[in-house]
Amino acid sequence: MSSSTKFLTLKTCDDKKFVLDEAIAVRSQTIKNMVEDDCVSNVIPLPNVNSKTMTKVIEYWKKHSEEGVSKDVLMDFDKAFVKVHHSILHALILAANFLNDKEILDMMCQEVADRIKGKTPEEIRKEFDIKNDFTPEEEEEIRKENAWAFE
Amino acid sequence: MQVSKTTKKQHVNISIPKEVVVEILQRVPCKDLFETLKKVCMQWCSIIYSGSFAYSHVECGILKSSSSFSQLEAVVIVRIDGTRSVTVSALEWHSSFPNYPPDDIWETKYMYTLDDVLEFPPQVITVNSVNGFVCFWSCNARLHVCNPLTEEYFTTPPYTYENRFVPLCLAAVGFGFCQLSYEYKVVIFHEDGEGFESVEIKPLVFTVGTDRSWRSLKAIPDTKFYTRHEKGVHVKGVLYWYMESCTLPRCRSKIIKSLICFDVSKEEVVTTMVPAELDSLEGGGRYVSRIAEKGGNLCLVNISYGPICSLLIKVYIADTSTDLSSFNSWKNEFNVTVPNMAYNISITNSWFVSIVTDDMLVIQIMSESEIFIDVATGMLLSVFPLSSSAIVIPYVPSLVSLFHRPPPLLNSSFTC
Repeated sequence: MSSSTKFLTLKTCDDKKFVLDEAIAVRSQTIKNMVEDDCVSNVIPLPNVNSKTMTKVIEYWKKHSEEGVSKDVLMDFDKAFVKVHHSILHALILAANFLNDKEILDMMCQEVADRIKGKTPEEIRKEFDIKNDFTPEEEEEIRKENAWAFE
Repeated sequence: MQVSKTTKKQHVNISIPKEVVVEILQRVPCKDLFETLKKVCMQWCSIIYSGSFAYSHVECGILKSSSSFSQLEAVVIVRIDGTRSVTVSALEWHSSFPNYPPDDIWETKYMYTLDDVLEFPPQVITVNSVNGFVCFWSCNARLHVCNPLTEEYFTTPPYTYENRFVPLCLAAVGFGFCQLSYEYKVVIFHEDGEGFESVEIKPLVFTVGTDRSWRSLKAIPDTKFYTRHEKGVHVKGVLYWYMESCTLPRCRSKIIKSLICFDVSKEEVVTTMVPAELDSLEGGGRYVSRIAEKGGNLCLVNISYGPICSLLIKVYIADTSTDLSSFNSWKNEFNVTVPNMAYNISITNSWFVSIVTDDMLVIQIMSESEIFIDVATGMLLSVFPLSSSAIVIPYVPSLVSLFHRPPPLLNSSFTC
């Protein structure tokens, strides 16, 4: 349609290149700012994002930029999009945060929040690979509640 | 493998920025945060206990409570027979949501017992809830504030030691939040003096955690309140009561209903009128109008008889930034027709509106019961039996502590 479709080349941390329509790439506020500030040369380096994650992000961007996609289809797409292993979820959160894409970030945060609900601390640490950095004394203190001293 | 190779053995969560962790925790219900998630790691614990997180979390909850009843919890306060004590319990009304249990098996979780709070006549009164704190009054002239989730608890000293007429002299009571100092205040309209000539309403204020005794404010001049035990509605740092009063001298003066507004920060009382269109009924007939809070907004609920023994409930939302006496400040939010309700029930001034959300209306019928009405269908979903020995106070759960203070001005966002 547009006669002057511009393409951007994105380079991930593992040196893979993605050529993408600028109109789609500017869903990332970070890229949009770069384009607007005219500091885009040939290749935009994305040092915090790997190619596997970027593929997922671009898949999302393309789907949500398609014309004539019904709301239901998009909802199903989103539902399937977030049903991934926690390590990919984690990488997507970091990527969305770096790319400053609020839509993906919100969706991912909601997904993590849903996964957290109703789990024990041990299960959560295991699933999200979080280290228990409390000393036994601190753990006891927290169990006794009223630890507003952590403020 | 998916995470960059150099940090493979590192702990992954370290690299998730704190503001994103906050975003995630913001979406988890308070109960999970308080009971489980604070035990996960140091960072989560410090976020969950921080005041800025607690306040933004409860603001989200209040906003959501406008549309969804599921955001609200309640406590029930029950008198223990033959003693001067009451128990405070969490009423677990969502445990079987959305199918309400039969009247007699509402589940409660015992929290604590308050001893020696009851004098004669033994009575507790619902006040209101703010930011996850519920407040209630007991007839020894004390107010009790507690956060049912964290179980933080505070009792004020008595505002009067003249115990004989305490319930009779209580015109209104409210619990509010000062948005500048992040302090909580309780307010009493206590009618002093036994004679009819000397009646004067002096608002009494107590700042929770700061004051050692009650402070008496400037009297509301030349006004006699007829309403008793009116509970406040707290919206954005202002407490509202909708009360019947007349001007003094009383002979020849007409009883009018006025909206009393108390600015919690400035501690000033302003009186205004609700537009007549909202507090009236075409063609006369019995009706009652009450104010309530809906998701951080002031609303007025007008209940009257509808066709074929139905009840007609109209809900108006106020734009509190404008003149509330103007009809344009109020917007009709929705109307509900409850079929077959009016056969054996008569509308009186002792009906109160406990909860207004887009999906649920809870109305207190005298001191007998709370009825739950589905907004979409007008169906009566359930009845909670009250008695002189039990009161229910709804609230939006929160992690807020009375000790939390506003974040420093220059640093409104989180830093790592």
